[in-house]
Amino acid sequence: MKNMNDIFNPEKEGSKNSPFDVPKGYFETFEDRLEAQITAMEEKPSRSRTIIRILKPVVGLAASFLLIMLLVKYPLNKITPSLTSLDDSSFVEDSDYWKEIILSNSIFIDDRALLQVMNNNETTSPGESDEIIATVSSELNDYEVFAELYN
Amino acid sequence: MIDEKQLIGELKNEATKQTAFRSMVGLYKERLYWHVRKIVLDHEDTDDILQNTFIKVWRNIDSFRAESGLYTWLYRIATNESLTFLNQKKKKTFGGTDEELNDYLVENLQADLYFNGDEVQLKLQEAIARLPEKQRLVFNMRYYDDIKYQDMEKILETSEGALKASYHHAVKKISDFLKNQG
Repeated sequence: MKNMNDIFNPEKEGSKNSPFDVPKGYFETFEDRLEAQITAMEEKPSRSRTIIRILKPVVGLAASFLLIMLLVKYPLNKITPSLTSLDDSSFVEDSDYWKEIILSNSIFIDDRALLQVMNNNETTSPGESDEIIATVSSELNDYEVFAELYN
Repeated sequence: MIDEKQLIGELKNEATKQTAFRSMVGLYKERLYWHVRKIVLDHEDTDDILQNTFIKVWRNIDSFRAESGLYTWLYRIATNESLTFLNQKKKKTFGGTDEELNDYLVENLQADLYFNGDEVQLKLQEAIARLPEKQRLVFNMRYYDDIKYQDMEKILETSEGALKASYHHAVKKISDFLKNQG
């Protein structure tokens, strides 16, 4: 087209010719490229669907568990706030108090003293034991027992 | 010549779908390519849009009720795909302004390896690119493709009177633009 007036002049040959071009062989190979793309696109969703199929029960279980936890915990908090507030952190905070109680009720003996007590028990002769039994079995009062022992 | 009713029947049948689809692509690919190309101007963009158009046809052929002709349906999908592409580009790259998008399309055309038009044709494309969307579509379909107003009515879902008015306004605007360009 050489002149602006040719644009709307149907008498002029080539006035409506498209000025666009395509790469060589574009239309000849179009169907093959399109089919390849459709095949690739149809394969992709099937893979993702497989992953979704595998994950679906796991996700479902996790969601159900979470739901049950929420359904149990919140009503329980509302009904018994004092009980449910006694959580692990309160035990941690009170741990010093419990430690003191345990320590005050325990008798601590060092290893040497413990060994001595055990040895003393072993060195006690059967004769002495019999003597104690005889003394205990005789109906003596405390004063008489004391006198017997020191005489 | 392939019978359209038979083609639609084969497209809806799983056993013959693939062969019929290939026949349909062969039948309409060039006409649709030029229709899209005149809207978006760039070859690579046209190729993407044309492939997307046929992929949509492949996926949705079962829902095609044949109330309109297959050709009309294909043209409608291709037109919608092209306009969606331009609107997305406008929003993403040019902040929603028509003028910047039109400038970009024309500049791109000058550097396009697959544009073989002379200076007058480049000016004409610039004038067309500056038209409002509807007028641009109507002008291209009427001027280049010689599509009848009755067919255009179905593709663009606009009355014949409105289409004629759009074409008239488009011709006037293009003439004014070319005169001003000297």
